[in-house]
Amino acid sequence: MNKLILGRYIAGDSLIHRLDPRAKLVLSFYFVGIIFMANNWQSFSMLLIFTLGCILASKISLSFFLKGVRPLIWLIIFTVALQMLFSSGGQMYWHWGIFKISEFGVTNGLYIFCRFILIIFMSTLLTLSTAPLQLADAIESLLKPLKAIKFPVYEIALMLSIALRFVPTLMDETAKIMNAQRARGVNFGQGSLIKQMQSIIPLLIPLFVSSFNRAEDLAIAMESRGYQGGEGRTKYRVLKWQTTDTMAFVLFAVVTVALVYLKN
Amino acid sequence: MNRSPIFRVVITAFLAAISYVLMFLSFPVIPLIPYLKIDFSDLPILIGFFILGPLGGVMVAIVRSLLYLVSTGTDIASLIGVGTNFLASMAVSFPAYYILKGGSGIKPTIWKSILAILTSTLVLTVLLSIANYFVILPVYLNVIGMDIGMSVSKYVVIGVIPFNIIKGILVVGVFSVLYRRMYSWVQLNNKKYKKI
Repeated sequence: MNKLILGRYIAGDSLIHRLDPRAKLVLSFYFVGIIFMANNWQSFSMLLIFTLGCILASKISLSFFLKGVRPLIWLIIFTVALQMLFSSGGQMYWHWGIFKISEFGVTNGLYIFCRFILIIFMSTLLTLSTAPLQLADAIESLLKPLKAIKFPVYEIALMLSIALRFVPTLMDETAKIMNAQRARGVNFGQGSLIKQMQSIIPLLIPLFVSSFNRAEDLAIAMESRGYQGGEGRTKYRVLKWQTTDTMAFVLFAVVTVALVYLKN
Repeated sequence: MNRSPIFRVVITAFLAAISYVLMFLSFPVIPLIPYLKIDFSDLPILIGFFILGPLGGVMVAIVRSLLYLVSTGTDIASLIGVGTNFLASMAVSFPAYYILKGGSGIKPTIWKSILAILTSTLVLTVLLSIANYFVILPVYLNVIGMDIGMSVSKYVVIGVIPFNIIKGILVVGVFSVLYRRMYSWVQLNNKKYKKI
């Protein structure tokens, strides 16, 4: 659970790591969009090879990506099995009551499996190669046009950075409070639903109070240093658009063209 | 005491962080559909409603959703999940807030709490059933390109409706108890941090 919460970033210095987070964010969205154009084995194998190429370029071991699949494995198996057992068409291989395995069902199941794997690998690549703070910067930069409708983009970005910084601290705090209450005889995650509900309250009250104290300390510290946000504030981490980012867009455009050519 | 806007920003960030942490303490309630899980990430949002006002509460929910996207991946499928979660948080929070708010200095009565639980549950269930039936499920199924092995209306009736009824009762029920226990603390902080 800890690992999942703190983000899955793996520090490194590869081509993928050095890409601008904005480019990575936009491209990973775009990739999920074009996956749905693939509808035969040629297009799927092209996308699989492309994704594996990206993974190689990131120099992150494949096992991290397989771990990304694990939490969703039941959903995938469930979906693929349903697809295989209930859709019909083409040659029939096996038949029992309402269950049937047909040619159409098997190919459809395989395609859905590939689609899942591709989506998971690409979004895992984004989170593995980009630190959460970088992603927060990218989101701030991409949301900037919303300033025109008075959406507080700058404040949201600041809140996001503060929250990211304090999630691990609050995790520790939660674990500490849980242990303190366990020592007083509270059972977390056991017993009937009512019992579980009751056990959540002695966890939440100290958590709220202590985090408010911490928040006040932080706000006072910022205030006393004359913190001022918004216009005119310079940044420690500046996002810079480089030629490699443009090249990445060109590469994705090539992939799209190839996909249009390969699909039915 | 006159406090600068930075206090509201920091408090919002902390509530969002708590909400995010609570998202991971989740448990399934309907054995048939294991990926519909209940968590208590709506409680900090509700606390945000009462301390920072409705706008602040909405902000906590927005930051919580972004936090989730940033740290667990930003693909279209999880974007749909996060959007649904945001809608659900809003559907629970607004009715509960306006019913429990009441006059100042008076703890909400048991009857008021029960009314809040019923209204929030009703709004949540109706809104999410409609959204699931017309928007979320069709979009989701198209994006993943799968079929769930049952019709959308059957899924809504055996999955979405019971899940949201249980969720509404549990979340607002726990919140009413929490709010009664923390009433004076919430009032104190509301005085400090409400919109100047």
